[in-house]
Amino acid sequence: MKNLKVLWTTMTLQMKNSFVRPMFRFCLLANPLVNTILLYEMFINSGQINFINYVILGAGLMGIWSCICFSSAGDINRERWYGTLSIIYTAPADFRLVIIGKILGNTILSLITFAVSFAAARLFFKGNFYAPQAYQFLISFISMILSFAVIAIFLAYLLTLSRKTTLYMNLIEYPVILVCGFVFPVDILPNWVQKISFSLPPTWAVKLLRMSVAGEVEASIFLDTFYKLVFITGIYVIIVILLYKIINKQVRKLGTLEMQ
Amino acid sequence: MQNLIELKDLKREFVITKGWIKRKKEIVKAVDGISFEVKKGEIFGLLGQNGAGKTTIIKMLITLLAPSSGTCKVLGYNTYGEEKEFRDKINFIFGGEMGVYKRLSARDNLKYFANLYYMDEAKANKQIDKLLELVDLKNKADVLVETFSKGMVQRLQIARGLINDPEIIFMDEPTIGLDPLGAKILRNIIRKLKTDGKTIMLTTHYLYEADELCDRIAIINNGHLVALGTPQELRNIISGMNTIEIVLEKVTNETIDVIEKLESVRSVEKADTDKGIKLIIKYLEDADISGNILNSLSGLKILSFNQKELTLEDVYIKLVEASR
Amino acid sequence: MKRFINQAWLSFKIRYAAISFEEFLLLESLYPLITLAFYCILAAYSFNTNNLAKWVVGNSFLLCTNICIFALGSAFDEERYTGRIRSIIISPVSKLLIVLEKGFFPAIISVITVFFGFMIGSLIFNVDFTSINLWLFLFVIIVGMFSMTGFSLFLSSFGLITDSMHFILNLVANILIIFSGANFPITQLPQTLQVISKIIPLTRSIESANMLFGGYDTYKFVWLLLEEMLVGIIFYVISYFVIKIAEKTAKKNATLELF
Repeated sequence: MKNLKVLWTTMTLQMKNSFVRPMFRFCLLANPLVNTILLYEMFINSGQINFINYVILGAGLMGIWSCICFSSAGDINRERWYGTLSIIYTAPADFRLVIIGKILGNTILSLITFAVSFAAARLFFKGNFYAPQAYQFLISFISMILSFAVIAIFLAYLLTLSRKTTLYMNLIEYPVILVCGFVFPVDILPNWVQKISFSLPPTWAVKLLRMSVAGEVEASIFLDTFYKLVFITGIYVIIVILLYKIINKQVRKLGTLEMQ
Repeated sequence: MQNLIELKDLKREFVITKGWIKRKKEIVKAVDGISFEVKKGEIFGLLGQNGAGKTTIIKMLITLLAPSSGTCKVLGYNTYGEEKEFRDKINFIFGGEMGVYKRLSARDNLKYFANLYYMDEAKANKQIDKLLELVDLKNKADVLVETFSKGMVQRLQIARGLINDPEIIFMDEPTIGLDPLGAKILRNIIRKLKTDGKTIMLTTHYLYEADELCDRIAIINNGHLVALGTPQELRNIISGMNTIEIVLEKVTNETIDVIEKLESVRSVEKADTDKGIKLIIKYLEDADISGNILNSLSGLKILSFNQKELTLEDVYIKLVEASR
Repeated sequence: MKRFINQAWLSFKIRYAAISFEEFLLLESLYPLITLAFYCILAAYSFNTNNLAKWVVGNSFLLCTNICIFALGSAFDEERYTGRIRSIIISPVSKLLIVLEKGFFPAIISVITVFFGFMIGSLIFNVDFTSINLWLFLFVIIVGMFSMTGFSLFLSSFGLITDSMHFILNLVANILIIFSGANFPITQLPQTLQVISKIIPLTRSIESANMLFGGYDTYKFVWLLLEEMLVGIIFYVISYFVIKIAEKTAKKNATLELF
């Protein structure tokens, strides 16, 4: 109960703090807007039916991912700048809980990107989003949120170890968009890249989402992808748990919690 | 009395990398074998130059850094490995204007940190009101911190550091950059905390502050402990001498002889100055000789009379220089 | 001049001192290449084509945004954030000179990045560049980067008056991706939006670089390059005045300091 409260207050604090940051607003509002335009213009002559669905999803996914890269992953660095990281770390409340709260807050807030790309497609191109299998779409969407949150926690932990967070968070944005097939199917990538793709939860989450808006999809294929997503995400959860143990030692051995 | 803080042969090293293309590694010994204890209810001062290792010691104590070797215990628990046992009983105040969320109000900041200490709401709200009053921010409680002045942010920091009503409070240069009024508020808070039975460890560059507040002081240089004791004991290490400076219109050698022969007087120097003749009299510290001196000067016109005590600053400078 | 280069080198060092050489390589070469690859793959998929020459050219030109827009464009913003702007504003040196110094090495690196980005991109995506005049291509890049640095200089002056530079710079970077014609023909855009393409740098140099791959009209090629240079000059002139005005406004509105 007391932990839930920590989680909840951290989430709300995070949303407040994130929303006032210009960079977050960019990722949240401007980014999906311009990406919707770009993707629309690139796909308009593709001859694909339903391409507007992929445009909206693609732009939304790119937006949510950039929110994760530049906020969730960078938040630890920001707390370091504020000088609050050491306070959070030494408080009796579990550091893990605070991080989870921050990331959940961000992830939920960043769902706005989908609303923006949807609205942009509607407004500029009179495009309409169409999800024939509403349930499948809902399941995919929720699993997407969860798997993105897990990978964000994974990144946040990794970046706790370094003072160069800003550098690394700039380095992961496009590679993941590319490798995980946010705007085109992973199948068109070379085989060795696909191996990387399959080891990342977003790949499966995105695949599931694209499937759910594609029209007729066999339930067995859908479920198969869903299980794969659960499995890979599960592995990341385990990694995250182990990672924390290492990090808890490392930060105090290397003294990376503070600016020096 | 109980030892709340215990350091034994504590060491902490940092690895520093230099250079851009070719990198060299260098090991810096920030803390190099320090031992001391802090008792319950004490105000304990850590003095030293920048880079002497004070902050590193505090960071190890507040569970932010792991020691490289040696013992580092707070409330009987190792600060590395058993930190869960006592994190709710300590807190810290760092100087400067870091450590608060600028885009939240003062009250929201305190609420959030209270939550991180698992305080229940009613108790937290009461404590927040009390602290806001204590640091004189009550009428700014609901204003965003980004509009605060430096001093106000620092006072909020103080409130934050006391949010969980800690038993031990660590302060790292808490008055740095504070205006005189703010510094005074903080010193009063520190005294009040002591009467409440709290234990305080603080670092400062202001020696008069340390002299005024601390029960005991440790002087640190290059990661080593140079001296440890009460402010008075530290003075005694350097010398047992006090000085009186008297400026007279004129003075005879006989008078000087008389003063020199007084008990406890060790030396008398005579110097001509613009204002008159200055006598510099050195005597044993505990003796009270000003009456006798005045007697022997009867009939002479005294322009000024100045009794100088050895300041902690003299002691500090001598000790640190000697340890180089 | 010696002082200029010295200062330029120092500015460059300040920016990159925090990261090691390997990380510098990663940030300035591997990552831009991945970005380039992303847009090329996207184009291959959406336009259903194997001939990616246009996208390799366009996106290699866009590689300079990382250095121009983000490094040069944030010249003043960063100084402000770290509290050094006070000492810069009160120093007797012309502010324009400061930005030029900051931009000197980045401009050189931009040219190199774009050129090598193009070469490597071509190798990955099977673009045959043996038939084109590489010297001419390099010249187009230099013209493009001249115009880009002018534009980035113009952007950097906003750093004196607003605290939303991250927002502005990212938005501009995205605008370049859309409106420079690197990823889809500008003619696809509504007439009103095509105006944006006309006033930003890169549009013309990308078009002229693309011309090298087909038979081209020398007159039009030269004309495009002249226009591109003109765009650059205009931005240099505007930024000179904007920086002067911005400095004044910043002093009046007290936006110079972070707190």
